[in-house]
Amino acid sequence: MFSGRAGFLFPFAILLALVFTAGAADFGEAMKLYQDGNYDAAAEAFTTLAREGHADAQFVLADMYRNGQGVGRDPVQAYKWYDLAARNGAQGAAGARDDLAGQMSPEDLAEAQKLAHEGQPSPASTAPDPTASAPAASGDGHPPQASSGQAEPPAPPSRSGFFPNLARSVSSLLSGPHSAGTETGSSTATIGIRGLGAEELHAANPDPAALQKMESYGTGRDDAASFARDAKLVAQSVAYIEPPASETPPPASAPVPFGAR
Amino acid sequence: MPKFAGPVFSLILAAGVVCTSQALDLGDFDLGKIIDIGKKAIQATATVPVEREVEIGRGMAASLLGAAPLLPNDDLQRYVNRVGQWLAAQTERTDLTWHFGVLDADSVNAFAAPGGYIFVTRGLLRVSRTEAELAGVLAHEIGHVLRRHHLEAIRKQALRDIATDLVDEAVSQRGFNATPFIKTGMQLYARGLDRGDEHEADRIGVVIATRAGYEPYGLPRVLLALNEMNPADASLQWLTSTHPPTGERLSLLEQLMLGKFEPYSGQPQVAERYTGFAKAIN
Repeated sequence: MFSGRAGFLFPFAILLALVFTAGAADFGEAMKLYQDGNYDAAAEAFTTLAREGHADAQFVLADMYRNGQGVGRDPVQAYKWYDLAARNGAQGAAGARDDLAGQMSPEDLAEAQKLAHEGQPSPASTAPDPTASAPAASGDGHPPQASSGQAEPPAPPSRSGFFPNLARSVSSLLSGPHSAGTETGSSTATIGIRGLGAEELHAANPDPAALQKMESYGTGRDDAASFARDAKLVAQSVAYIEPPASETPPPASAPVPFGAR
Repeated sequence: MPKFAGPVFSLILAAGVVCTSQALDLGDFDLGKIIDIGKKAIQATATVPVEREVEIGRGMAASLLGAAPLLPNDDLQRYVNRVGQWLAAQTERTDLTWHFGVLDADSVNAFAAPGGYIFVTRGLLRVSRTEAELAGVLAHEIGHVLRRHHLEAIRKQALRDIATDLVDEAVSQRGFNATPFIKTGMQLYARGLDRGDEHEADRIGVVIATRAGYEPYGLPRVLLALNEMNPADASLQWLTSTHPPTGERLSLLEQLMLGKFEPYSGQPQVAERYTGFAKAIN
């Protein structure tokens, strides 16, 4: 459900984007394409930047999906990009997202919220092909590294075994001395360390002053986003992992039959 | 059959009671009592409102802090909070105000309490080497809160203990009394959650850390480090006794992550910022 209100929001986002990212050359070029009315090329450029995690490009791309400029009008995609932009710290994106949410049907909104956090289920993500190196033209939510074709990470500091190599590590560990689990040696109790265990918990009195202190360390979302940017952390859309078929846990929310004690 | 049999029947059904045909013979039944029991069971199985979730979680957090003090290092506490807030921003539970704390304890462990209270011990920070690893652990705990694992375990225990009036107190007209729920929650820290809950939190943890832009293998790396420690190490006893075997967690995660997370493996691990803050505890 779209209304004409979208028009009010769009120039605002553009203005903010111009103010906050004056230095970004690619972004500036994309913006110029947009201002020249070359919406198709602008949408392409903003899509590239948005997938690289450029928060303001994500914001503008959301607007374009909302207005149907250079891309098909798509409130669900618009919501997704507003949300990513907000999470990456684009000023005003959260408001734009919430404003849009107010105009969407409950079904669209539910789909958009799922998509915003989990990314778009695509054939590529259900059956990943490590050799595929084509630019992600169809699947949104792919990280920028997806197309590089090589997934060699920097070596972890002083830690053996990167996870893809863990098969060996894990199996050797499982068959190693640890798995016996019987040789507890001389120290089975928690004596000698600054203990925290079942006994301490049992004897503990609540400490409301410490709780207040802990609550005072809280920080806001904007601060968290800028903290993340400092370390070049870029929010991604990643779906939750389904449990393995072999693992069949009991239904988590099944009511316990009355009197089954 | 009396005309009110229908509503009573559905009440009982809703409470999860298996109805025998005998139960429909209302001749000898105290109707008021059945309705009363049914209502209570329904209320006890209803979704816990978020205010109550937070009240229970705050109580558990205060008790944890009575067992182990906060590490007296404001910079480190704020740092862990900022990592945690960034992670929490990637989740669906924006209705909560999240809080993160470092406990001054050598035991290697981390905890979640309902309502968004997350703890790690100094011992765990010593084992971790990068922000991505810390994020993996915090995200695992966040996973417990997202899926309300503790709350659900407390609720089930409350229903089992129904004869002890736990549920009676909860639904009494005097108002909500969180105390018995907090006590039950504290027992969970000593006993541990269901194994399936821990595996689910592992699965959620790696996803949330990856959503936050970290290299996805932080949590597996910490598990690997734990696995490389001497299992007799006293600081590991509590974690070992309350979690599934570390090797099992690792191999399950590995199976599930293979083929899905490689595209994100170039994301930052953020080692320098972590060691900058964590050096204070070494």
